[in-house]
Amino acid sequence: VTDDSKAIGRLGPGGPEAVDLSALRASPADRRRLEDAIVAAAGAELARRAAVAPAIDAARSAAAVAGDGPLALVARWAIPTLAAAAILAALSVAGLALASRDPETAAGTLVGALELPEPASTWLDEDRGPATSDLILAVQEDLP
Amino acid sequence: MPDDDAQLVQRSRAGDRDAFAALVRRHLPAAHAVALAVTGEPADADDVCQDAFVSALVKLEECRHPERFGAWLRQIVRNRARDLRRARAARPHVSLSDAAQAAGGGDPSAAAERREDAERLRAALGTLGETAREVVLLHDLEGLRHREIAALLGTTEGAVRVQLFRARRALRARLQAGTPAGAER
Repeated sequence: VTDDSKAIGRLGPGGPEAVDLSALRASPADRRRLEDAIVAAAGAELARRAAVAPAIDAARSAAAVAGDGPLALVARWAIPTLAAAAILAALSVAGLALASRDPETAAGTLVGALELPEPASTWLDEDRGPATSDLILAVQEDLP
Repeated sequence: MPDDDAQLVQRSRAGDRDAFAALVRRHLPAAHAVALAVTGEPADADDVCQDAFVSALVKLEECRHPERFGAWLRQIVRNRARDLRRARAARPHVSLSDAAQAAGGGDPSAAAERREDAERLRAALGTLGETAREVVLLHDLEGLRHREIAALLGTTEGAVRVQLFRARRALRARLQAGTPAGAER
């Protein structure tokens, strides 16, 4: 049996298989002294915090009161309005993107929607300017 | 019902001394075990804990999850302890365990025996890895349960059991064989 056997195999707080580390353990009084020393060392910081705490509370209260004022009302109104505007903008962009993907179809749809006279829609569909014959035809169609 | 950590942190932010003292009482055992695992010296672990608690109070607004104050604090403790260990390595000092001396009371022979035990344990613990030291100190010194240690270290209960088993086996082997000089770090 060696001296080291004193340090092993004894019951410790970790159960019957625990290694006895009690030689490293501070006594309850020492632990209490350490706790007190830590709190004492923190005294200046605790005092500083205690001094500024009322000012922080006052600022928080002021912010809470401001939260019920006209600015808060505007904010509550503005947020859903902005959201609706954003949705409309997104839908518009999507519509434009689809239209620009097929210019011919888009032009045809636009011409149809504007209900232009037949010669004018023909020029647009064929992507050309009116010829003299087209102008004569147009004038004749307008005559009673 | 005792206040939870989030409430104690909130009150400590406002400078409530009692709340801070409650945080110290609650978290000092685990913090001390972590510091001791890194430094290997009870007196150094005391210094590290004091420094870390005060530092934690000064930057308490940086604790984003007050309900997990313990984990945040232990990280500060670990970093401070590593800094101290590096400083000690650069400037070696004579090791004297104040805690072991004080615990010996007025009997010089008992104090000497206790100091020898402490030195032997410290040397044997020094041969383990840092995590293994933390596990064995948290369990066998501070009396924390496997579940609590797993939560502290962010691992599973099973992993803690395995680490504890291996750490104890290695520790016993070192103590029985006698730890060779210079094997502490």
